Amino acid sequence: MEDVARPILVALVLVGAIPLVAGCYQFLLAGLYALRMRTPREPFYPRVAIVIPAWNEAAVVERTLDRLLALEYPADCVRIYVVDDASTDETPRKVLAKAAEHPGRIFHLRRERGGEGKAHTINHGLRIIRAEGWYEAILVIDADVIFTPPSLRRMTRHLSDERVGAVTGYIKEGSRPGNWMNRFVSFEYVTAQAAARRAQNVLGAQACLAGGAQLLRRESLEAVGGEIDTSTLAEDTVTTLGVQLAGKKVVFEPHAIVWAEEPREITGLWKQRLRWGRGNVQVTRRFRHIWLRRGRAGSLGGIGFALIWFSVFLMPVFMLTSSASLVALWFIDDGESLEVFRTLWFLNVVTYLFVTLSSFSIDPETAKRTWREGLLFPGAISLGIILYALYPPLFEDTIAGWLRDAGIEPDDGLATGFLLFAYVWLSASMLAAWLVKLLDSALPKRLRGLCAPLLYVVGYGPLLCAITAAAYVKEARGAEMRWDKTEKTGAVGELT
Amino acid sequence: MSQLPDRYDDSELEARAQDRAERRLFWRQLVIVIVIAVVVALRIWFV
Repeated sequence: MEDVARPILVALVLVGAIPLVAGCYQFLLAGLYALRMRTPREPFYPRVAIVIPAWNEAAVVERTLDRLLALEYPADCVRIYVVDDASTDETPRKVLAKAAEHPGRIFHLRRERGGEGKAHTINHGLRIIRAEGWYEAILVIDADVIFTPPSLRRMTRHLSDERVGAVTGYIKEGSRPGNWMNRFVSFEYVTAQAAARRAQNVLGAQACLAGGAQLLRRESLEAVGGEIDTSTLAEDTVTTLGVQLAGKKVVFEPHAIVWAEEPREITGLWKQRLRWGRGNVQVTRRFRHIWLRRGRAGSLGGIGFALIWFSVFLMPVFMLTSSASLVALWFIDDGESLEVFRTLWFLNVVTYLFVTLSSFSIDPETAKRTWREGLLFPGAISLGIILYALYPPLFEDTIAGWLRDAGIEPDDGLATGFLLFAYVWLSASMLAAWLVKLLDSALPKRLRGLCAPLLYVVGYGPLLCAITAAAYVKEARGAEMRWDKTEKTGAVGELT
Repeated sequence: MSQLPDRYDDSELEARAQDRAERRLFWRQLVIVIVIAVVVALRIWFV
């Protein structure tokens, strides 16, 4: 019985290596970007209708409009449509004032009955813009994002290629002065956008146009039905996959930088990412006919794209399977469990070094601000296990020596306890991250900073993983789909 | 509206500069891969 169970358990432990392999694969592809991609040389200025869905955005909308007016783009080729979703604050007054200042460039479209969510708001604008027929491309953005002056023209250049149906830019966290959470998000965006989307350019399959910067060719918008999907919480992903399934390419332009304000605390991040996570569950189900079917879906149906998509989507499953199998293996053969554990975590060392150093190299400017959060992305505890896997004598000899000096004899019981803790930490870190989130939401706002050190210990990565697990649960329960707007304060400074 | 590079040359220069930046990134990635390979080799050698 044990002879049969042992290899099965070893294989199940190594399931935990799938996200690690996917991470390395993604960053290797990102490194090949320079060899596979070539920036279009010719300028290309199609008529662009910019759609800004807005609900109570008085704190940010004027600045967003000012920055759009300052784009390096022919003035007669840009029209800005603010679709006001029945705002109850100063948004309509501010937008109307700007529209009066810039007639023919800024338009205020008011929905008197709002509250249906962002996608419905965008569609209200799209119906009017399509009826006018002036536009050659649509740019859907968020009300708080700041487009750097060259960003739009760097994106539109790609549309000179008829095969390209949509383009997205590089969204960077722009809160100034940012707090610890903003720095974690900044580093995350280097990995999830600057690196991952470069890799997806190389693969020829993009997972998602960034919600704050989605440029669509007119024909591609028509190909996906002329409207944005309203049946899921991931309308940007549905559009992205739809454009590609209609036969056009979706491209990421890493030099089109767009600044955005992201949540400043755990509870806000949890709400935002839970919406994204649930959207991904819905998209995975809705597009089930494309996964691993290259003949039907082209690059979207390739093994590489499936590896990238499912390594994130199924991360909690991989972690739980790996931890549980390690513990089961320990009961059968503790020596073998230690060997497999060391192998798995040594792969973790390689991935950690490769992903972290590559991220620093891809965006050195962000790295200067966020290197601590980059190093502690997996959490201090995981970092300790990574150090152990990198060089076991550090713990087995050096730290054991320090304990003896302190009068503590590191006996077998203590060693076994530490080992089992390390075995279950892959999964327990998600639980710990969830507990930190519970503490964050239980504390009054002024005390929430106390959760920061806890998250550095537990890790931002495990927090994202816990949110994915929570998204499964919410979807399985069929919880109500609500559009929880992320609170914006206008904290994005005068960034260029 | 400012500094619109509507001349082909300006746009081409900018595109070339971006491609150069991407090539630098490629070389940095290669150095990182080599460094990690050395770390792995040392680890296998010493542990």
